Amino acid sequence: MFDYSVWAVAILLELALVARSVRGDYFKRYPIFYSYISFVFLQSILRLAIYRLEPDWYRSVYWFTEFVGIIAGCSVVFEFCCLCFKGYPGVVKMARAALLVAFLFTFSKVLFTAAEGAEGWTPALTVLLVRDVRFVQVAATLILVAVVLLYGIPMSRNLKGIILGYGLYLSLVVLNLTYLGVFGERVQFVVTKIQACSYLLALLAWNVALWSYRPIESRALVAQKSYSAICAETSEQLARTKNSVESVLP
Amino acid sequence: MTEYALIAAATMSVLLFVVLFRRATQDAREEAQAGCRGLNDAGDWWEHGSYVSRAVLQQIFSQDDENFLNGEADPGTKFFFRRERKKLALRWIERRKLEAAAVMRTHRQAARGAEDLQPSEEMRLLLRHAKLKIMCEALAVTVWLAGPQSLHGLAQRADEIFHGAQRLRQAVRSRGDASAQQAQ
Repeated sequence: MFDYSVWAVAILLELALVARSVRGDYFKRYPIFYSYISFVFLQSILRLAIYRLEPDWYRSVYWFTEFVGIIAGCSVVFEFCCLCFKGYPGVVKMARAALLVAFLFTFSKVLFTAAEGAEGWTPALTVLLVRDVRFVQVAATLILVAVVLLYGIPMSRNLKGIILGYGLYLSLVVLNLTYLGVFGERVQFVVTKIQACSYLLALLAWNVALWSYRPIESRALVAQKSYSAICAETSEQLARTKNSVESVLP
Repeated sequence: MTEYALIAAATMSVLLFVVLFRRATQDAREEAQAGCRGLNDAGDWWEHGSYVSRAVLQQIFSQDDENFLNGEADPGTKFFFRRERKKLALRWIERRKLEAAAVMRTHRQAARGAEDLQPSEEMRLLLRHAKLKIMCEALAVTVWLAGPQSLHGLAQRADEIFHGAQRLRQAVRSRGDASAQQAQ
């Protein structure tokens, strides 16, 4: 009963998102995000139909759509990155470098798990692989948010909602899959419930934040000075403060 | 079980230390922030680089006044003097921290629109700022625990301990060499 209720509410919330996007023409503004939502909406209906009509197929359909969903989810992070850093070429460079470092650190774990799976895929190993791929996404999202906060990039309510909802969902999924990977089927009942609720939370956040279109208020002006001049000035000021602090040291 | 208890006790101690330190320096932080916003008069003479600031600074962190009071003043005056001096020192440190943070904030605002931004340079500046912040925090903890006038005394004591340890190591090494020669 609980599963069906969650399923129904999720489909309703997804439908509301898609309907609002069609009505307000938000599809043009966030094409990748709404494509992702449309995909998830169709995926939910497909899964529900398979669960009811062909329960034997459910497991394989679930894992197939789950992996496609993960790849589609990466594109949501990509769109956030493109929209948020539009007009900030310097910050884009910084974000790209930070993402590359995060990717190198986290993707190695995915490769290790995938290599283990080459000898035969157990359900626990599949769960761990999904968790590792999701973890790469969590790291990428956190890095992007850190860069946004560090450089004080203005964000619209829509973008905040997209990243908050997706980040929340990803974090809870990684947490759940870790428990599932470690404790196995003993915790499966609780984990699936929490995962379903976390997705509902993300959908709620998206519905609230994307109910109406909010453009980003202000964009940065092109830097007046060259980057080397800005750096030289900052270095000089930091050196002055450091000298001041060091002058009191014995 | 004992390990968990020890880890919990250590964590609690660290937390307690941090909470006490934050509470003790809260006034200094608030005053420094108000100074930076121009809400009090301290901003004018507190600006670093000016003659008054340098002179005051040397006085705050020197032992001269402390030595003078040790011979002249009653315990109540000494207590009051140490408390006020500590407050001043902490406020100065907070001011430097805020100043460094403001420098970085201004830098990021200017750099975010630059097309030729170099991530490696940004990281270098970020690390420099982190180093400066750690330095300020260490200084603040030392001042909070021992007082600003004790900095020089502490350094001397650390130097003595270091040299003492070096002498001990040399003595042990020479004794080891002598016993090795005897064995041969």
